Amino acid sequence: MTGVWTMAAIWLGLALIATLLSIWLRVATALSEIVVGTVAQLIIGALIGGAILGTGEGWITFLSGTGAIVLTFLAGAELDPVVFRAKWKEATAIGLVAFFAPFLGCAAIAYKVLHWTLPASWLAGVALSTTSVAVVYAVMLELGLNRTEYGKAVLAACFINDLGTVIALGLIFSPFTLRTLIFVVASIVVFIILPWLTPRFFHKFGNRPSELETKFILLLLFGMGALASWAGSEAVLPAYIIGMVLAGTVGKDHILIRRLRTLTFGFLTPFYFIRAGSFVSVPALIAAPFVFLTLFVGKMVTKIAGVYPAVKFFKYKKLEARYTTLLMSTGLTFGSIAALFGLTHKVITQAQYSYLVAAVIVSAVIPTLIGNAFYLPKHLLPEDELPPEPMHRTPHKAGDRS
Amino acid sequence: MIKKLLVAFDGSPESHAAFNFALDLAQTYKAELQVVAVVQFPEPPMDVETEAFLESGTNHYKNLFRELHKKASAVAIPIKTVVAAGRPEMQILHHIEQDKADVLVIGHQTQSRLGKWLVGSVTDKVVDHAPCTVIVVKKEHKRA
Repeated sequence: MTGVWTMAAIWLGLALIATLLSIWLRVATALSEIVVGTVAQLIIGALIGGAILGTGEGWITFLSGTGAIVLTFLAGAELDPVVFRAKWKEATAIGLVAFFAPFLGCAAIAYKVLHWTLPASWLAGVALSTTSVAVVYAVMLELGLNRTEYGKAVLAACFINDLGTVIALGLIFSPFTLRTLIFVVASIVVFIILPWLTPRFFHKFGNRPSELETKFILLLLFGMGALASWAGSEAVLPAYIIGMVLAGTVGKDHILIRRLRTLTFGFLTPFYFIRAGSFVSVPALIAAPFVFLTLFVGKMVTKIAGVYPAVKFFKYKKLEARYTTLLMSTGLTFGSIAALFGLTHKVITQAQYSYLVAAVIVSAVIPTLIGNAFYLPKHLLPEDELPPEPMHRTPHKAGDRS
Repeated sequence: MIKKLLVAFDGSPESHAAFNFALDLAQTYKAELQVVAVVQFPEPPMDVETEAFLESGTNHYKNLFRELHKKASAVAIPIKTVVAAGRPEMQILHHIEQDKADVLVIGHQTQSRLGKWLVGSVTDKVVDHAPCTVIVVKKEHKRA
């Protein structure tokens, strides 16, 4: 066991360094962990040998995979079902366009311009089709738009966008056999039963120190993940949808969500993001920087080409339309999950993985930087640029989600 | 005449000094006093982590506000406290406008050159853009 404890200490040491850097530089912990993973692999790999990190060890792969699954579940559980029901038409239309435009566009760019194989091109499309709900949510909250009809619709559209991504990831590389059919049917049954069963089960047996709720959620995620994997699909697909269907019940249990977050950020996701970062090949990025730049520009252009006309169709004002388009061009969590899926399933090479992760990171950072640089707060905007009256409700109260 | 005072508060010794100073001013001018604290997200905001930041930040500031309420009630000055979210300078400027504050009281930040280069100074940005008088308080200020 000495080797395992030593390796665990190294990983948690790296996680701690990443966390300190994220606090110091005020960047997202995940971003910091990916970068620390890349640098650690580069330095340790050059000095001692890449094996010291043990990225292929079974227990590290398990913790990393669990991190991705639980994080995806929590992301799905952030959906507000009331808002979604109220705005589903608009949200579905914008969300689907926001997914399909970069998915098809980036896949075409990877295939035609970069001459990637067809499966690798599809994976590039999936990885670059995502939208960061968190980026959109943070900006909406800052502008006080999270309470407006506009803000609610855009937030709901982000969930539809990411749902498109996980469905594509879960099914596009699936062999479509009888197992796929069993997985799809079983999933539908589980997704229908869960919102009814879970609150009743928790009410009867939960709220005890034995943490029944956490065990139940993990059982669901592992069980459905196993079924997905058996069918040749991806475990994050059921995890995200389970999160969405339980958003109205489990998602509202703040204490349970907080406990799951502690488990996720404190122990699981460092393994996931550091491992994801350790596979990034810096020499590959240096050798062909235009590849990841092409992917990044491809994502931005296809998102803009898809989202801008869609939001204009719903008669959003010029300012809102520009914001929405910019915000929906971001995405880190699902982009990195899709890229890592491609690498571990040998759909893409390590160099292609590196280009994709770099493009995903840049797509998470640049649009927000542009937003920060060019965003003018409402009180500095000329009168004709101001949103209509309902959007003036800018309470900016932290904690208000809907 | 000062009728409304706004204090930018982040829990630092400098912001406590700013609050003490504003409390003195509020007593002197019989002015309304509002305190705003801002939960800042890391960049780029990440799924799940953003919500966690918001929750823990809100709870953190609500706990700190208890001490401010105690201090204010000891001198019979009613205060209003608000937790906002986003970039601090933007939220502070927004609250100056929204609450029509006559004076903003803010703590003086001491930052390394690297820190200033990386994230900039909230105080500098607010002083540059505020539409009202801004008083920058050094952390040595004690209540009279």
